Amino acid sequence: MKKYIIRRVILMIPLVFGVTTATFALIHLIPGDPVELMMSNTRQMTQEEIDRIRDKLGLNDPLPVQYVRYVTNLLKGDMGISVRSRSDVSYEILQRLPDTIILTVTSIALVLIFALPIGILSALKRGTWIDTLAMTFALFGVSIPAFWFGIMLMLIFGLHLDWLPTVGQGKTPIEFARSLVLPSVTLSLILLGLVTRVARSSMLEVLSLDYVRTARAKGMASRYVNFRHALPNALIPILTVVSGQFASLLGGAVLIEKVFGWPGIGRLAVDSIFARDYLVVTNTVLVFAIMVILVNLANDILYSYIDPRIRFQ
Amino acid sequence: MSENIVELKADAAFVELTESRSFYYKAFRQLLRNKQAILGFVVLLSLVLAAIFADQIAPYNPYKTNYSNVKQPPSAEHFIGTDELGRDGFSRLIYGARISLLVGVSVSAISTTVGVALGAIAGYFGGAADMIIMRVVDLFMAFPFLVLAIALVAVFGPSLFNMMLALILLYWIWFARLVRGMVLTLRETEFIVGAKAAGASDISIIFRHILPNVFPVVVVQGSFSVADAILIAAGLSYLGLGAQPPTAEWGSMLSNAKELMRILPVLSIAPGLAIMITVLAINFIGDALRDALDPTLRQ
Repeated sequence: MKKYIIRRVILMIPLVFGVTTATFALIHLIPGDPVELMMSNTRQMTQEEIDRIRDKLGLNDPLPVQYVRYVTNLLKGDMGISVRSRSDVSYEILQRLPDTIILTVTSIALVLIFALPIGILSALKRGTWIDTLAMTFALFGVSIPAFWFGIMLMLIFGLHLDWLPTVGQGKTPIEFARSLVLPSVTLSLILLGLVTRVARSSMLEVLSLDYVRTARAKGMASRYVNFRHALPNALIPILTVVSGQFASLLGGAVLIEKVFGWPGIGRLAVDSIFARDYLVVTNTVLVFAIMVILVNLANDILYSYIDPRIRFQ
Repeated sequence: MSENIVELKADAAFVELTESRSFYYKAFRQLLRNKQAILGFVVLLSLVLAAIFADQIAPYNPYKTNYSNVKQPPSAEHFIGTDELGRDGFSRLIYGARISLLVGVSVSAISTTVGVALGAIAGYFGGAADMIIMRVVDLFMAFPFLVLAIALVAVFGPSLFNMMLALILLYWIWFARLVRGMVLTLRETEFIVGAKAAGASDISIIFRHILPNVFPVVVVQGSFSVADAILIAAGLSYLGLGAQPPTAEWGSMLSNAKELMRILPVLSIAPGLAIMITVLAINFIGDALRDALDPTLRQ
């Protein structure tokens, strides 16, 4: 087990290296001189001054030198200074990271609460009107633009019924929970349709296996066969899909945070694009990628516990 | 001559899939019997016609501002009212179909072609080409799709064209992975080993034996990617990273309507419904195509 984890962590290193290289490239691909961008909101500078700042920031060094410095700084947690807020980029991101994590984790919980029972029920009632209804629900789930769904929820539950706040984040725990409802329901829509479909097909597949038929042939109660024998095995592929889709949920969070004015790192990234605060943009992208890599790692390790066959592949 | 005979025999062995007319004939018959597919096709066709003949259908010029007629509620003259500049919402909705369909179809078509080509090369030849292509794929896969799209648009600068470029740069990955996996399996099948033994060239094997077998699955996934690209493009335009004002585009119309949400909710409802109907129609067709074409689902 230990060996497997170590191997998996070592395999992760080239990917992290690749990801940091990609964000480094992104920084240098962005058009415009970083110093001019940085100083654009202040007074006009002479060429001499610009050159001096370039020198100080090391922007005149060869790219490999800059790259090594970029990586060493990253390891120290130094991501540079935000043009907009004049504070550390790493501070800006760390401050907002928990809000994004709370939003995505709540959404994943909602996806599991709704999609699992619906998908499993539709597999058990295959071919009936329940199945048709569930699959129609899933089809709409993948066809509705999530951000528009959020706007509709805002219209209905915020403006029309006035039950929930539509924008921003509450300060007290109760207000916070209330302001989390609409964004997290909206975000869960991104995976709802897909996970319902996967839950159905995974359950159907397990139900068709020999050991399930044997259990039924023994005269075992149908409910016991379905929930004790079939369900646990059907859950494994479903959970694989859910954690595999964590990246698309994080991507969706960017849009949904913007719609609801939720102060996470997704909204930070979008706002920074328009403020031309590119260091924040690229480092947010990096943080997103590292989160995806870590979730995939945790996922693989978790599965090797649940399903020992994976360890020996 | 003998080469052709061997190939023919090998083909026959590979269950009625390759280049066989009856496969597509059966699939087509099945599509015609599928009510969802017909519905999806009719809706999509009307949207395409609306996009093409927008100049004739739209009651007003979608860009014509009219300051004496702003923020009007829905009426017989203006089906979904007018926006804060007095532009007719319904006309803008019709012109919006142009952008969405253009983005969906062109992004999907180009990235499918590129992805299939690179995936086939990686899977068939293996070695260094495979290594390089798959490392690039792995790297792209480490980022959330939408986050990377946003970052690329930030680099290129926000515009409709740059957004399409960014989406193409991201979507090919998907097809490359899909096709590579299929080619790796196909490469080991008897009919391809046979064709190789008979002296068929790599080019001929790829075009005559591999691509025809990959084609059905690519068509199905390609149709889903049209729907997906339309959703993503609308989201990016909503953020102001795609189509720029005053372009009549559904996503940016939604972002524009946000200010008027209290007094004119219809302007927030209609463009989203338009996106949903378009995407539903394409997904209907995609589902039907999958049922008809995907050999793994055929039993």
